[in-house]
Amino acid sequence: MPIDKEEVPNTDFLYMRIHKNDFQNGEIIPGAFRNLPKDIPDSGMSTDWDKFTDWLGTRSRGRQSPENYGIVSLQVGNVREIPEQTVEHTPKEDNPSHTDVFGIKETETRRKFIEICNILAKPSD
Amino acid sequence: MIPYLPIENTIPRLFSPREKKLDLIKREEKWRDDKLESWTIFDTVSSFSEDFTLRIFHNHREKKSKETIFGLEVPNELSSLISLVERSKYILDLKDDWDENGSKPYFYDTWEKSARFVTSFMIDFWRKSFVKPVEPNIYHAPESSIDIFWKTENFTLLINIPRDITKKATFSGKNNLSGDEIKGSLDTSKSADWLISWME
Repeated sequence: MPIDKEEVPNTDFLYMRIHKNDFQNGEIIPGAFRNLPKDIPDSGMSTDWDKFTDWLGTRSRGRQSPENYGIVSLQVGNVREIPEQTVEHTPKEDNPSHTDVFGIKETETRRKFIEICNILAKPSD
Repeated sequence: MIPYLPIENTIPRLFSPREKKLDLIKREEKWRDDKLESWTIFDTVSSFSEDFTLRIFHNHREKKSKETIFGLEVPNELSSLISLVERSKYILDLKDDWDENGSKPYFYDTWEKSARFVTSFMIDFWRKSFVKPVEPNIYHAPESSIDIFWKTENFTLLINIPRDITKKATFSGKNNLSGDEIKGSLDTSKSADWLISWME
């Protein structure tokens, strides 16, 4: 049964899984904010909407074991203030919280994501 | 050619504003040079003013650097640059599909361009401002590009070196005190004096 898309309010939060390779000296790097998968045009940056999950759930949905990932939160309103970024609920059957952040992740974009992100957990925490 | 006279041995004299500035620089250098093992006198300039007051100024000294990166001499004060560049070599170890999402490896030329820019910029900053600059970090970035990232209390600055080294770098920064933001493209082969001013 398909899951209905919903409008994501600016006051809500997104959780994003960050692989340990994108942490250096305990700090998240700007390059962590990129669109995936690379081979699909117009792909977005995968996140989870906090309406349907908690950050532990987001961490457990990675391909690797949870301790290989850190988790950051992003407030939706702050994401939408970054040029050319749109937030769209894109639920999947196995993950109703899935939400994409679409838009090119150029230098300015990535710097601003670093400024608005809040680290909830680091790899191996 | 008048031989070099140490500061304490020069006779009292009248200074013009320019000479006062040079004297200040000279004293600052002397203070810094106290720890140096050796130094070189580059030139000594002398002349007599109308009132026959002896003026001796401009003793430029430069210590002998112990290390070089990419042929650039690294002042002892910036010796941590060497470990910064060494640390950044992790980027070259990232193999194909290193993120399990199809990301490609990084080219040596891209890394070298990034590390060379950081090295020359930091040395330039030091020589022009006499202040030890805040070190950036050098990170892998999307599309096999490389990020140079400064994050301090006062500012954040991100410079991206594209995989194609014939393309210009792009940058974006924010002064956290004033809230002013900058962005644009940058030719990393040229001196970036304006960036030094912005960071000071």
